[in-house]
Amino acid sequence: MKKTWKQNVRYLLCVFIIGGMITGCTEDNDHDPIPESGLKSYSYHHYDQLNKSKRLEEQVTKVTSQNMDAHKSGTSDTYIIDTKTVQILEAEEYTNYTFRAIRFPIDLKMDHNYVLTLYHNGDFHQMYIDYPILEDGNYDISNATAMPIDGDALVQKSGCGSSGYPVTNWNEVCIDHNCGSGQHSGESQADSCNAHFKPFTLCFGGWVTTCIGSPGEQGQPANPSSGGGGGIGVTPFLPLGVDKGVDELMAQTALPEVKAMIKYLQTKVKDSRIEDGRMFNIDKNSDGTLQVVAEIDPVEVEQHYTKFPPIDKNTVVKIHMHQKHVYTEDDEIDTKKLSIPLFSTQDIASFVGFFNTKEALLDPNIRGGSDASDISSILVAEPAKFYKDGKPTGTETSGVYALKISDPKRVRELKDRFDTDIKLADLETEYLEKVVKGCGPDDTGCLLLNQLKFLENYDDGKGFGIQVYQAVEVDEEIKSWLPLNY
Amino acid sequence: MKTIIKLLILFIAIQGSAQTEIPLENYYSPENDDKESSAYYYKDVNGVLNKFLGTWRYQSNTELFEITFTKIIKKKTGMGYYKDELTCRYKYIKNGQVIYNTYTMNSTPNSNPDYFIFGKRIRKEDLNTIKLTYNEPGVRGAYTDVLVLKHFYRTRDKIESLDWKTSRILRIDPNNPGQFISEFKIPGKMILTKVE
Repeated sequence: MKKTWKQNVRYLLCVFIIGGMITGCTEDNDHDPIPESGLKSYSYHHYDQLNKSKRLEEQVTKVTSQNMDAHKSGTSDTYIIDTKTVQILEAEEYTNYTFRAIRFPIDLKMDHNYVLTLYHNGDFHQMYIDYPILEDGNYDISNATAMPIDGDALVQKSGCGSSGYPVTNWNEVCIDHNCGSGQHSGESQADSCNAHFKPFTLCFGGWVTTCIGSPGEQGQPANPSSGGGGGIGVTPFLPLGVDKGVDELMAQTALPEVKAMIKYLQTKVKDSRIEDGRMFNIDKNSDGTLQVVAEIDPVEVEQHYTKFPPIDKNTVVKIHMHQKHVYTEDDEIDTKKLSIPLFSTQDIASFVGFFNTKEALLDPNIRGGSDASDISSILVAEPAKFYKDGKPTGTETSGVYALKISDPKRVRELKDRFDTDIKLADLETEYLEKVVKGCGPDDTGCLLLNQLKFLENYDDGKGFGIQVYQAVEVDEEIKSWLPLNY
Repeated sequence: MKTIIKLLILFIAIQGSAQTEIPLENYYSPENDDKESSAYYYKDVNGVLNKFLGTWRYQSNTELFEITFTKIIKKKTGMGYYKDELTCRYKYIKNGQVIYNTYTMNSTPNSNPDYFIFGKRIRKEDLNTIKLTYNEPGVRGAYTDVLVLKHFYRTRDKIESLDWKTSRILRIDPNNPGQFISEFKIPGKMILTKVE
């Protein structure tokens, strides 16, 4: 069948239009490199949802299994890599996969990243980077250090010195987040631009001039000098702005009423003989800002529990305090026992109940009405101390923690799990057995880590669907919240 | 040939589902730090719980307390692993009045006599001491305390005994809000002797 000239014109027009669209999309997705830096774009992804190359999958599996073993054997200065989320930084010659890492013993003035660099020519490079945290909560890039590590083992690379390599500040280099313009389309872009992964432009980071190491090693880049920076470009893995829980906690604890209550409990925590707390009903204004509409006191407080009245559909934040000391019958002489500055089993179980009750109160037919996952349970306690080899390290947590919902589906599954006293007693017994495992009597940092293990490993590794956060306080102000993971 | 294949499949299946048994008293050993999935069973292979089993009694001029410890075998935990642990039933009589008798109690959704005192916190470094979860009927559920039991033989007559000590958190006295009281009725410190 012959086409008429009109049909041909229409056909050509379509080709031009579609071609133009494709070209436009390509330009959007394939960012031009930033002049002289070689860096193109970066983004955050759920690691388990990522389309992984064989090399990426192999190497990350290798490092996560090995560092866990190292930690179990009690090796000092061990890193645990959190593979929930990955930062991907695209450069002309390589792609960086950066994960947040936790280093033992914990130093809260330092943040740690594990960076796997996969070069487009097939080479790869691995390193830990330690970023000091400044008083204002920002990262001190100029004083960060990078430690190259061996390809197959999470040990320091031989022949590269023992003190690591400096990170050179970028200075005025900015990279757009992949979905920064919000104009991209396609499934992969939509995935990386969901509520957990807000777009923003990043203007800080640094260059690491990597080490080749001892001769004869496989898989290391011969002389990495990608881009104008003379090394691998890196930027810290940021919990702020990429973690929904952090954003919500920042907004909630910035409310004057909530902030004041946290401060009040902090002044009481050392001397009070009973717990205390408050519940907040919070509404969201049309511009997205929050507003406290009701403050509700507990109906009962005791030495080791705070009982709140039933929640309302706009109850969002519960705060309570675990005072430093609890008094027992043995106090006839002079002993008072240190209260454990952790969420109790009742706190954990009631947070599961909080979510499920609130979800039932919300109308699923109203847009966003069934989303109860913005709730927070904030605990004010004595700062936890960390020990190493039986001696205090001088490192302390802020003492302000929060529980957030990280997996609503999982929390729904646990709905009836702790609804009787018997089930709670079982949970409490197990929790107490687990929390003290391997900890000295005063090593509350160790108890805190066991709490995280309990929450994450519960029920054959399914966990609770709950994430623990710790407030980062500078000059008695909450500057950020750090997700705590084992 | 078919028999060999069947046996091989059976062998692989058994190997695949094999559960690692760990002596109960090694639960706190560093090498078992994260062995808490359903692949592990903290079993009383060395009988470290046996010395606590049986019936024990404390008697004073006004009080009688009798308790019988039994062993729960292979209880599934919420974490995933399995464990052996102690449980018990007891009666407490004061001034001729029965305060508690959990021997005759039936289980209800919110109360089961086997869940008032139970647990397995025993360490290989001290096999004569065990810590258990402690509660009494009618006391706010799950707001439990810790019972420490120490097994020993009385010096004068070598009778098997238990040193009973609870570390009980006080609560506000509802009749006198400035004061703290214990909501438990059973004595917090006792020496019990073996009855049977």
